[in-house]
Amino acid sequence: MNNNIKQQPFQIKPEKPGIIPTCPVAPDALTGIPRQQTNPSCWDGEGWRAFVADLAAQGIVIDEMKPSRSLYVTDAGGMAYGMPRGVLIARTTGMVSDVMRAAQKYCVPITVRGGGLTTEGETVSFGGLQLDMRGMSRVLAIDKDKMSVRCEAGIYWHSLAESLRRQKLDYLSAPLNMTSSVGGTLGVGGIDINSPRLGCSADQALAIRIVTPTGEILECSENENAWWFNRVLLGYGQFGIITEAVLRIRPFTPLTMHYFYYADLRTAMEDLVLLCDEDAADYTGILTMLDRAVNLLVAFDSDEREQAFFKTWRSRLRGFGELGFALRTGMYYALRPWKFREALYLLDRKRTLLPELQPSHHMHKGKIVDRTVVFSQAVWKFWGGRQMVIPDLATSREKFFEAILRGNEVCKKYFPHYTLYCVGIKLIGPRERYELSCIPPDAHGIAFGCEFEPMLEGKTYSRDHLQSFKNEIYDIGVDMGTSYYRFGGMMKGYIRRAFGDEVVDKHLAMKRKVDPAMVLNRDVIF
Amino acid sequence: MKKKTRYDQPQAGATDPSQCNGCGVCMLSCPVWHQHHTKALTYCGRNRAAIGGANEEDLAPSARACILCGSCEPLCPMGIHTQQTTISLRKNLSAQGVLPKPAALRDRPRSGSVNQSRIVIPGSALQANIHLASAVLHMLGKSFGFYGDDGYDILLALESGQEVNDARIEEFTAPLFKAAEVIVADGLLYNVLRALLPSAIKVRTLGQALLANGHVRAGLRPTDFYMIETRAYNANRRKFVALYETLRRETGCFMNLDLQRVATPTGAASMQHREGLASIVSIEEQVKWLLEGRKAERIVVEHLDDYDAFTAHTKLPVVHLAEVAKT
Repeated sequence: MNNNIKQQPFQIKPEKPGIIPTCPVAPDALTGIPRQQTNPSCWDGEGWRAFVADLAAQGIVIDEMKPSRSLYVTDAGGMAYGMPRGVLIARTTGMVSDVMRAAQKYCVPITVRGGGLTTEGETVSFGGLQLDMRGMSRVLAIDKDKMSVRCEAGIYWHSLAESLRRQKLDYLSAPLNMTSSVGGTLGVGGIDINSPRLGCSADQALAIRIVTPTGEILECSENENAWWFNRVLLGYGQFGIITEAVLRIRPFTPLTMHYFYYADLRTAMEDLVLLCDEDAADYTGILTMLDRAVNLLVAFDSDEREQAFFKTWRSRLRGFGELGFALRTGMYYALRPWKFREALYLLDRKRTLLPELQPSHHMHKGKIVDRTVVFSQAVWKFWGGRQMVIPDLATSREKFFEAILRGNEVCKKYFPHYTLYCVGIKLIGPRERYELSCIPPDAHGIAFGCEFEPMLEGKTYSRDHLQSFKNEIYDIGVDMGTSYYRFGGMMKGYIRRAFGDEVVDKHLAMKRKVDPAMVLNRDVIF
Repeated sequence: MKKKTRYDQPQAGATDPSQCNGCGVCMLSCPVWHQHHTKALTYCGRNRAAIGGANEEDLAPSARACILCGSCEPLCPMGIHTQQTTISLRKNLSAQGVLPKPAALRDRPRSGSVNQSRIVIPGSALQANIHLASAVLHMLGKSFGFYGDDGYDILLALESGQEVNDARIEEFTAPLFKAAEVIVADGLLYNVLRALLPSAIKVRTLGQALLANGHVRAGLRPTDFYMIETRAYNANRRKFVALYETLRRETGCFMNLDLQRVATPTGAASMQHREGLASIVSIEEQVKWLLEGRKAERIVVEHLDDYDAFTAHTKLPVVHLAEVAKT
């Protein structure tokens, strides 16, 4: 165990505003720190000029200007830095196809990016071409009869919701972050607070149009090119680039939201499992503030479901309402005056965070309208920063409590304040695509996921401090045989340890077959 | 009464733009993003490029693309004042000769005197429209008088990054310091006056003032598309959002508010369009997007620039808010 953990974080000040400070960690500081993730080496650029010239001859111009490239130096994690040699904003499937053909021919690495919400540098290009899919952001067709929407894959979920809302429609499940893209989400999973009922976002896809690593354009679904469909969904971007998607949709409904408060994490988790197992709520998840201030969120699309919950399940939950919890907590701290700082922290969270989760302009007749907007704004305001550190674990029901309680202890060692965000993830039967994905191999029927989100609170921590924290969480996954979900947190350094050689070699062989030059999203998991 | 700070200078407590975390939330409501999906042309893009080492000249195309609608302003979770940062960048680029000076920075009528203590600054187009001008005064009440100086040269200088002469600002605002209430049609001018005038003087937008009249509110229909003036709204969303959310619920009308409750512009109020400069934001595209999926039968606008935009690009009837009153 390293001794640096309880050390106060030190400030790194840039020489002047706008200049990214150099990493202050000396090379020998790594000794004894189990840091696994480092930037891959920069691609040497051989073949680049011919690649650029070939595409230019086809009317595709790569932007090699430094200001354009510098927009892509890092991802939401802010830990991995790399500079692409050129940038291209994808506009059509045909253009993506041309790029992949040329990439195979000249062995140029292609790193695909949507919202760039990865946290381990998966969408950062280390010297190759950065393909920005957000140039393909149109909603192509809304089919109210089949309740589906066809859209381009670079579209932000927010923009998709904007179009759907005008027809009084909504998508089924998507990350609580408006700047994630549809394609990126389908490639890694995507979890919502309705995932206990509806599964992950990738499971909402009815069909996708993809460009294979060799540039072939394919329409895929369970009935057509099913192998590709199952490889590309949840495939960490290894087997193809999603350019269009057909997704399930539903009528839009505002939500009735209830919060129950617990003084104990395990009890809250047990109640979460109960709600998921018995399908007692339309939306549910856990958000913690402190070990003794845990929030179980329960929400409903309809009054009927809400009434059924209060009739059947509310009495079985051990959480308190806000007033009851405030009284108990007040008494707890009144008897323990030496914990006044903790009490002040809780009061501050109540004063600042809770109103943000129900702003008056998003409330109507006691219901929350546009929950994704509300949650996403709160996420960026309270957990966002120039570095986002969100390791996660996805487990079977059986391993859920132990994994999360162990992760909670790790958080405690590294940060004074943090949040755990736990949800259930319904599995839509056995699916080929679940193998080597965010879905844990031993989960049946339902999986559970937890994000461990430190509150960096404006402090600057060293990259090693943050990476060591993440590694310690990931190591729990290796130790317990879980997976990692939502942010594409499955990393090259962990994949064999997590899934074993046999499964990884099987997928690597498939990858080599479809991507002979190994150019598509290299160094992400292979 | 204490005079406040200049609008084009950083405000106390503003977050340093270098603190941008690149979340991209500000892009979600940006019309430049909506039409082009090119991050480099957005506020987020130029800020991230600057953090990544781009110099100001590199950012000129992006600075030029912005229509200063302010849709990014209320969204930044870090609290960066995006409008002022963009104006400040334009000032630096203008000083370097990278951004041209608009030819229309010309002398305009400057008779700012008015007898009333309740003043309306309607803008030259509204004042020239006698029918509409009288409708506005009628709805506001007879104690209001029009202000002769529209301050357009100040706005244009601000938007284009030219130095705004202190003497000119003094000349424009001095009579206003004697007013009890000032109603402003132009959103950017509203923002400027909110920054310049003491808080004892009530400054309202024209939309806000007209909506205070119950007859005006009663004249709105569920099939109306209500076009909020974007620059004042977006710069002061916290102040205005409740007013318009309530109005939407009361009337059932469609509005140019997106899911983040940010006002989407037509782009017609931008310097580029007012001055006939090249703009990458197509008004036609914006109008099409604003009306997409909304079964509106009539357009109601707060600002005459938007009147022109909708008239040019839809076949729906377009009326000013002052004309909808049910009496």
